[in-house]
Amino acid sequence: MQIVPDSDHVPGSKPLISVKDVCLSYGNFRALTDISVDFYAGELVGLVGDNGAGKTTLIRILSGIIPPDSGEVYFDGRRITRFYPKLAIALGVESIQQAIGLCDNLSVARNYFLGREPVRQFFGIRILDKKSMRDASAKVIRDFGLRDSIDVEDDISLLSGGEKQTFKIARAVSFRNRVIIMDEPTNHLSVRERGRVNELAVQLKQQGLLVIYITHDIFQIHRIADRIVILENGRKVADVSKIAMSAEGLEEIIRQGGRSPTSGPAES
Amino acid sequence: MVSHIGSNDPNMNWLTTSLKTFDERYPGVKTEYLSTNEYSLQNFITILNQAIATHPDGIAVPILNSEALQPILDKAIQDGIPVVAFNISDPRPADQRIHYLTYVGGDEHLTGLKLGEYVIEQVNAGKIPKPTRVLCANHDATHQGLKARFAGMQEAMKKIDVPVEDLIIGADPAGARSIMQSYLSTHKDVNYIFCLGTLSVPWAYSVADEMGLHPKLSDKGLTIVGVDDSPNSLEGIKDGKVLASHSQGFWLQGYLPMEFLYFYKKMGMAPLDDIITGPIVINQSNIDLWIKIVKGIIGEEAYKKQITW
Amino acid sequence: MHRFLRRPDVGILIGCICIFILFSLWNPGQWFNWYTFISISRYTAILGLLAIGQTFVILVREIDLSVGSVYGAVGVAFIGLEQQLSVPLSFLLAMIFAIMVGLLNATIVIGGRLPSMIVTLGGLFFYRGLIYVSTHGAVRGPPQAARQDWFAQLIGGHWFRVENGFLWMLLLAGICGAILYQTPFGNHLFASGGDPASAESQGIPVNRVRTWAFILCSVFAGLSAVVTLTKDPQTNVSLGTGFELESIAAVVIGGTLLAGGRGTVLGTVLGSFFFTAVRSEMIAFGAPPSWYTSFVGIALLLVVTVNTLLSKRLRSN
Repeated sequence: MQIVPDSDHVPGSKPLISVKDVCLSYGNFRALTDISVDFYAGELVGLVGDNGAGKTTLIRILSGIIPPDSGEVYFDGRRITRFYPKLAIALGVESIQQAIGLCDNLSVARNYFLGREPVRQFFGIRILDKKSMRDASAKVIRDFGLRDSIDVEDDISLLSGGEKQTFKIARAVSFRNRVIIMDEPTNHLSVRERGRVNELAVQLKQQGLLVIYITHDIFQIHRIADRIVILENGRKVADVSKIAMSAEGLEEIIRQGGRSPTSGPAES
Repeated sequence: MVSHIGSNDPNMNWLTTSLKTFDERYPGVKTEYLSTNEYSLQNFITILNQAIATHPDGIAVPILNSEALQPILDKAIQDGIPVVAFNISDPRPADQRIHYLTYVGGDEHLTGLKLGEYVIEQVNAGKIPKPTRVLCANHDATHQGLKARFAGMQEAMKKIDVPVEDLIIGADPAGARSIMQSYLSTHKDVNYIFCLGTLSVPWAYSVADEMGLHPKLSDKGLTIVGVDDSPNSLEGIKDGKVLASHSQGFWLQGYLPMEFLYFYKKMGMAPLDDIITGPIVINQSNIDLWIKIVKGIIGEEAYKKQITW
Repeated sequence: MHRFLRRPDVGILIGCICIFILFSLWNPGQWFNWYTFISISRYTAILGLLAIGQTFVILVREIDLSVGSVYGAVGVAFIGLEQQLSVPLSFLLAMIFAIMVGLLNATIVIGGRLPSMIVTLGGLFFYRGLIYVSTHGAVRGPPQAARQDWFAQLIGGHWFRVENGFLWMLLLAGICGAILYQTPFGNHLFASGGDPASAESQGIPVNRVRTWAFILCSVFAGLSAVVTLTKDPQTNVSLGTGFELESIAAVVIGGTLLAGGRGTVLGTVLGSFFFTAVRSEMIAFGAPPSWYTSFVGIALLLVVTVNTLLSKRLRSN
């Protein structure tokens, strides 16, 4: 396994997110071992690696879904001691997770505002502002090109897999704050749609956000990312800027791990 | 004493108090009271087996279910532990039934029969309305004793050609009231309610009262007949809300089995026949006496605590 | 219109209309009788309040089997307190007891990571045992003063011949329906029951929501007991036996899914009415009690099947 030196950054700028020696185990299975990475605002970081490498686990920590067993995580220089999703969202982290994020028993509008429902006063009691929920979510889904026959009051289970994925992206983007984490965002999407998602990721980075992008597709990510981080068996094996290495080179690193990369959506 | 009358049943006080009196009178002998809290045959058999395993000098036990208990008790008797049945007997003939020394308790069939006969006697004296249909409010569908009471009442009422019906009302007060109300709304010829358990007496009364059926004792309207010498039933009779109740001599059912087991152990003698301690009909004529007896045994405070009216 | 048909309570709504018509035609004299209305509305109120509480718990994918015993325990506590304290104070303390029970249920289920079915089953036995032990088998009726007290009458009396308990149930049902469908908490509750992982990922405090559901369930069980006892104070240690299953039946017949995430309070109230009316009429017309019990089982299956078919058909449209 080749260890490639860390990429160099603009000296003096502080990382937005800093992960130091983080470890996490699911029971006996070591998912992450001594992971240390820095993420900066205004960059698009590709997070790649084979199945089971630990990519989803790492971003779950960054989204506050699970806490690490050991190690430190810093956001904006401040050490994070408690990990819960509301904190991550409050700090400005929006994420598109695989498999979770939408509740099938709720409508499109309710899913859109899940956890941050707008309220209005009704004789002193805070109740859902259904009108603004309807209007805001309707506007967004039109903007993102979801079919007209969908009404925001319909169950989200009426949407196809691709439409749901687009919806998740739309939601994260419209609530964007400082960080957008995308875990295999092009799942279920057509070729054209994939192209649009990638364009979007680049736009977000250009707006100054930190974009963390997990994918299996080395060539795709090499085109749009500033930096690529490779995880293998729970360890970081590479952290290079796009210019420092070609896509083939990166692919080689992964292959040398003993497994060949597979294409298509899969669990990390 | 292994019993099905647990802390959920105020009748338990009769048994535990009488056992305590026995302990005082026979200082060399120790008694122990084990019970379940519901009519669960499984639980009962479990604690019975535990009791037998401690090899006591004798066991007093109600025959909740003759078939189920026969192998257990006959084996205990063979192993040298004498058994006296109380409260519920084995209804089969002597050669087939469990070989207990004797039975101390009431006769549930007689209970229904005697109370029914008392009703007829009062009707003939012109004191209360003639029954046109009798409803038996049954709060426990699995209890053999209640079924026997119902059968006894049926037998008594057959003599004057009055139909008697059994209605499962359940143990919860709200559900029982709801069920009774539904029944009474279409069976308008019911003018007698025989409560097979003392707990349902106030419920039956309030349901009848609310429906305008005049359950207060008089020569018209609906009449309520209860069971047990519990403060609830007694106060009902005293207030003129309940026609009659009965006593099955609960105190004797705790005390006498212990004595018979003691005598058998000491002298090898036991009664030849069963000791029937009840029913004794309690009504307006002897209510004051009975209230005095009951208060004397359980005390004024405990008496008041059991009145739910 | 489609969205109306996809409501979880459409099945029970149709069911209730059907039985209403059926009973009206079968024996209008008995059905359109004031006492029948009183009897059915009274029990619907008692079962309804219990079932509303259970609805919250089932919506978050849990279950509370202790409600019958909690109903009994709070009721017995209420009557016991009334012997010494004023009625409003007794009520307050009894409700605090109910809150504690709900909190305890939630703590053990969530903290211990144990299935709620097992934990609340334990609660069923524990609280029933508590009733037996603390009362020694006999529940004393509350003093006359307590029965006539203004507060007791407020809960257990009538208003123009309609029982207050029924009106309270309707009011609370309306409030709970509003909580579920018009507040952020309601959205969180549905999300926590429908897809807890997704809800969690969006920042919803799923465990806190579950805790509130358990507390509401026990509180409603207690309220139901107070409503019962202010109307009919003569009771017994068997108070509430079997209610847990009745409350679950009412909730499920009402269209709430046991899997969580879907259901309405209206459905639960209609389910309670359905249960009560069917039992009442079956007994009135002389069916043996065992028929009624089997019928409830059949009704349960029918309503659930209708609901599932309806929602499947509408989903494939």
